[in-house]
Amino acid sequence: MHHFVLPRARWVVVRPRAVFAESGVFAVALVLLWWQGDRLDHMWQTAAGEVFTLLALVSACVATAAAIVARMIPRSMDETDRRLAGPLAFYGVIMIPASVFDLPNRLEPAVAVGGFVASSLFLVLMIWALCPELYLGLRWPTAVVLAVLVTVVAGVVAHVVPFSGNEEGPTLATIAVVVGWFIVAAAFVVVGGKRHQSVTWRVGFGLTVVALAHVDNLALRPELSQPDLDFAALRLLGLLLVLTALARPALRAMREARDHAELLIAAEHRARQLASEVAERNHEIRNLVSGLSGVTHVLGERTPLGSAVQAELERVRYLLGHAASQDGVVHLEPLLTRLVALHRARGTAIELQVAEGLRTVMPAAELAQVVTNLLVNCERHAAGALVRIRAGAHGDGVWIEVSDDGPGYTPNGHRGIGLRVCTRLLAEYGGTLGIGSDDSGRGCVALLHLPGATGWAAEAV
Amino acid sequence: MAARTVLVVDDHTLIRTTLVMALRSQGFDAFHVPVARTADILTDISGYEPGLALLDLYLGEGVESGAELVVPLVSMGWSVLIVTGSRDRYALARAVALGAAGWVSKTESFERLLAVTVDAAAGREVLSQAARSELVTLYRRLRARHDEIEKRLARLSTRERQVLDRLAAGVQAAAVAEEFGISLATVRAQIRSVLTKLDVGTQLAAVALVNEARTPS
Repeated sequence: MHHFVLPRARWVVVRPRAVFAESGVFAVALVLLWWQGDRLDHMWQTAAGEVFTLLALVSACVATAAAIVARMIPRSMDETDRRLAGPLAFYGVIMIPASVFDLPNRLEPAVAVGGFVASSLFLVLMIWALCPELYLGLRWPTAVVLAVLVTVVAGVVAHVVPFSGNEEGPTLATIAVVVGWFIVAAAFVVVGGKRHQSVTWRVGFGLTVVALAHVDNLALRPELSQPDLDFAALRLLGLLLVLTALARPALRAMREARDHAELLIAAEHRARQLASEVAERNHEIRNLVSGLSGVTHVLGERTPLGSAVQAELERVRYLLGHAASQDGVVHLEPLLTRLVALHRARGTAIELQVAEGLRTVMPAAELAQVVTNLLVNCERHAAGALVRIRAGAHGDGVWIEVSDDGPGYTPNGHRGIGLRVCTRLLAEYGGTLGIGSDDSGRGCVALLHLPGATGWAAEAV
Repeated sequence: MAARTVLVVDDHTLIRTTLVMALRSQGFDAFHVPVARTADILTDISGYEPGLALLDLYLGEGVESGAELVVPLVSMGWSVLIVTGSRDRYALARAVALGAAGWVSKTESFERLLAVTVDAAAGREVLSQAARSELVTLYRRLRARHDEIEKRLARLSTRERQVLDRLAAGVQAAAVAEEFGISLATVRAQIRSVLTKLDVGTQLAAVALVNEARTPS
């Protein structure tokens, strides 16, 4: 197997030295074109028209590519860069291709006016891109379509309305457009510098080069019979500058999105692993609970300890996320008896006094959880104290009182979480929890109110 | 028809022991077989009169899923009741679709487990028609989705599949390139090819497909 390792593509990252080298190449190309560009026209005496058309079409492609790349820059980065898609698409898809058609002479006025209007609109769109606060409710495709429409209308009007004074040399309109190019290009450089947005000022440099190309040409529409190759080459160079300026953030964003996706996948993988570990553990615990439940069954549930263990297992099942009790009505007496047996087995002295026939609609597992939390509280904060549980009916409801003769209730004590769980569980079934000290100031008293099971509900079971 | 024979297939000692004891005390001829390969289990029980089989779906590391036993047991005349501690609906749906009479969760109380077992042994309905058809529909739907994903994954070359599996395991492309001794650009090209073949737009979507294909069946 071949082991060829290519250097990792890092050129997307802006490195000072790379920027320097790149700028150097562009500067040399620029100076050469500016200074010796005219020689190009003599290099291909016969095929100059073809070369010009080729360069123009490549420029159109580069401008269009720059427009596409501008749209790939994430919205979060910079609105200016994204909005450049409008003018660049207009320039690449409409203006440059339109300029290389050899049109009949009688359309001359229409083409001249159309070209002027199109160039002006292009500059307006550039300004619109530069000022994000100019929203105007316009989206870039709409802006392009509008620009095309206005251009066509202007051309048609110029064709229909007689045109006088066909001057030789650059017209005022041409000069205005070229000056406009420079102003817009300078605005991009200045604003980019001010906002510390390298993309914007880089685009400004590109635009400056295109503006220089126009100075060289000083015609809105090149004469295909006398093609100006250094104009075409300069324009291409300027557009390449714009494209590379925009490609940088777009590629970086793409790379970041890809890396982000990889991190996300890694995180998801860890989460899945964790979830499967938890599921496996829960599965094992469920099996264990089920087995222990079987043991108490086989040993005989008649003994109070057996039923107490059963109640505890029920609680574990509940914690594992399965509301096992769907019985609708819970009888208080057996439930409290089981819990008391369990806590007596742990050594807590508990007195139990339950009125007969008390029923509640609160599920057994939840109620057991609440009473257990209260008993654990007593054991923790009033160790060795005598705990008294009493329960009775109150109207349609049921009350349970858990009290001890310990040091009493201090509101700031560390009883928080357990009691909060109790309150939440009770609230879920319409119950309440009150807690405080005995009238004598000794001992802690917790009083639960639960919804009772009405006659018909009890019948239904 | 009431079955007197109850077979317990479960890898948890405590459960199978207590189940067998409890069922024996109810007058059933209950027994359990050691959990092993499917073929061995089938050989072990060949001598018994077919009755009710209590089957755990997850029989531990390195052993096939209990669901593999459903079809052979049913064809031997056993009635199968799934006793599961897992929450995998798909595995359950598959067992029911393959012919299990019903299921009971290990999170239910032991009494309920016994009651359902007795009902199933007596031939009473333990899974309502509606619940059964819901599970069967679920199984068919997931099965179809599974097949569709497998078909798409089958388009990948061996190396592409390896790369995708690494990505799904949270390995970054650069590390994959290092592991296979190829360039990062090559790995990127392979990833692009994977996305095209799977007909998805992002790596995340491709990984989601692999993960979906991996859900136990």
